[in-house]
Amino acid sequence: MKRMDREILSLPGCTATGHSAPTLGRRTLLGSAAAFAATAAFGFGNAGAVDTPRLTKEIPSTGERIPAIGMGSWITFNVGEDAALRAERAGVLQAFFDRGGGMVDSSPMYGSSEAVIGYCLKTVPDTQSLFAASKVWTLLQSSGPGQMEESRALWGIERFDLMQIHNLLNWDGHIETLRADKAAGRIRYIGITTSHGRRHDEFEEVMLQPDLDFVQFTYNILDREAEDRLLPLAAERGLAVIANRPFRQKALIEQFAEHPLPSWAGEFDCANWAQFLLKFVISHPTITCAIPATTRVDHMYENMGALEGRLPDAGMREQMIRYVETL
Amino acid sequence: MSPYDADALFAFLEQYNRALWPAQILALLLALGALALAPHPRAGSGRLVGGILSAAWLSSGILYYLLHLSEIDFVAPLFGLLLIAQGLLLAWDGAIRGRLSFAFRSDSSRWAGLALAFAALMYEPLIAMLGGQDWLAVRVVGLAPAPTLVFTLGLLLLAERVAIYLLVIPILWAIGALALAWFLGIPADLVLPLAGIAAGLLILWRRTGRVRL
Repeated sequence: MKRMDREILSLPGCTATGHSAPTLGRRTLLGSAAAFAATAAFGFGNAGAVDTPRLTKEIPSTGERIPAIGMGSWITFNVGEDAALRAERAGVLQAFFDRGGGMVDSSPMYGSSEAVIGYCLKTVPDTQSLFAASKVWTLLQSSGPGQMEESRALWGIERFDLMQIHNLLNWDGHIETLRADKAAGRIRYIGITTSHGRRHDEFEEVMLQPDLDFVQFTYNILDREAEDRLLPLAAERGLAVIANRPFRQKALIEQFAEHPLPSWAGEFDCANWAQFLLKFVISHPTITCAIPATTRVDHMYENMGALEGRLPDAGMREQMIRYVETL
Repeated sequence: MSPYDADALFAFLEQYNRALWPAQILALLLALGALALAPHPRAGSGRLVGGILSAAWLSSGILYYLLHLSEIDFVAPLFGLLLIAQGLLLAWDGAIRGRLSFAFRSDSSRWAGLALAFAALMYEPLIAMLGGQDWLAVRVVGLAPAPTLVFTLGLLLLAERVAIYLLVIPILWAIGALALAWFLGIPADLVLPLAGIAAGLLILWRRTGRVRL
């Protein structure tokens, strides 16, 4: 089933892991391409907001719950000043919030992404569920406060919910700054990131630091190195975990798209490869949120569909791994 | 790896060209002047061509990379500095020391040089004419690195002596540009860097006995 396929399965009223059975409302009526086309012609705005329960996960340090699918912005929101591309991204962000999104993750390293996010946040009418997450990415500790203030101004928000030290860069300097910021109420959570499976040994040491709330690293159905040490350590330390590169920057989608979804994907209410890959990630008990990135509204709808329905259990996760490893 | 995709690159190029307009006219006139002088040298024309080429690299480095692309690419300042370094080398070798001496003889490498310099001016407009990209996104010699690279190495194929150090940055840049074009999935952007590498190798091949270090 290609990534573009819409949900055509009617979902049974079964209980999903950790949340109540979903009723998909208008989406369950999209049983044909014609119905979908009619809805698309009517406008994404009308096909957007759906009133169904969404999977949320708990942030261990406070008990706050956030939607288990967030949005990354590496490359996808780095569109500079182009008005047409910015308008498109605003549509993507609108779709994200319509479908119950919360965490938006960015960084000063991502070029103009933070400025574009700020533009989109002013354009999208309802951003109440926003969980703003950015990063400090500078060699000098002394430059950190200024950079974070610039990020805050670009986003146009009062404060970030989560500020992360990007790719461990001068983490021991910046963590001091972030502790002070959290104590003063300038941020709510402190985090640290890495990606591509890099520097896990050093990352493991940093995870032992007090006052950390979040960690972010790569985790997807093929890149499961984090299962060895980082995920168990995060569970032990009570850290929330953000999974980046859930699609290996769309490489997994492209790799699997030409293959059919297995028939048993319906057992966890999965209609397309995006949901298959995302449900694998967020079904890990220690994962709090996955942050796929996209430039397209239709792909955003597919991604956010992973918040609905059941999640695979441990046995099903093994079956999913075995299946994709044969492709 | 690039922090932007192909759509963002072309949107950037359109905005860049709008921001610089009508500097493209001056850049093209200078390039045409250099193209006219190189195969028909006069007294001092080597310094003049060297100066024009230097200005092309300096402006590409400063305008394209440092002042504009850096908004969406955190590595852009590094490339800007490389292009500025190349501009300073050309200024030193060509304009100040007058060591770029041009002459046109009817041999295949010089005809190749002329063809490459001409291609550098015409390639992107041709792509735009064929519908491959918007006219506003056309990259111009003296204001963008890829056509500047090919134009420079094309003219250096007409030079009597070319210092090896004038080839290092262009070839390194071309390799980086190939990787970027591949990553962004823009096949048309492979052509100029490949042509630049070919020109650089041709200069190196021809240097035996005639090129000083």
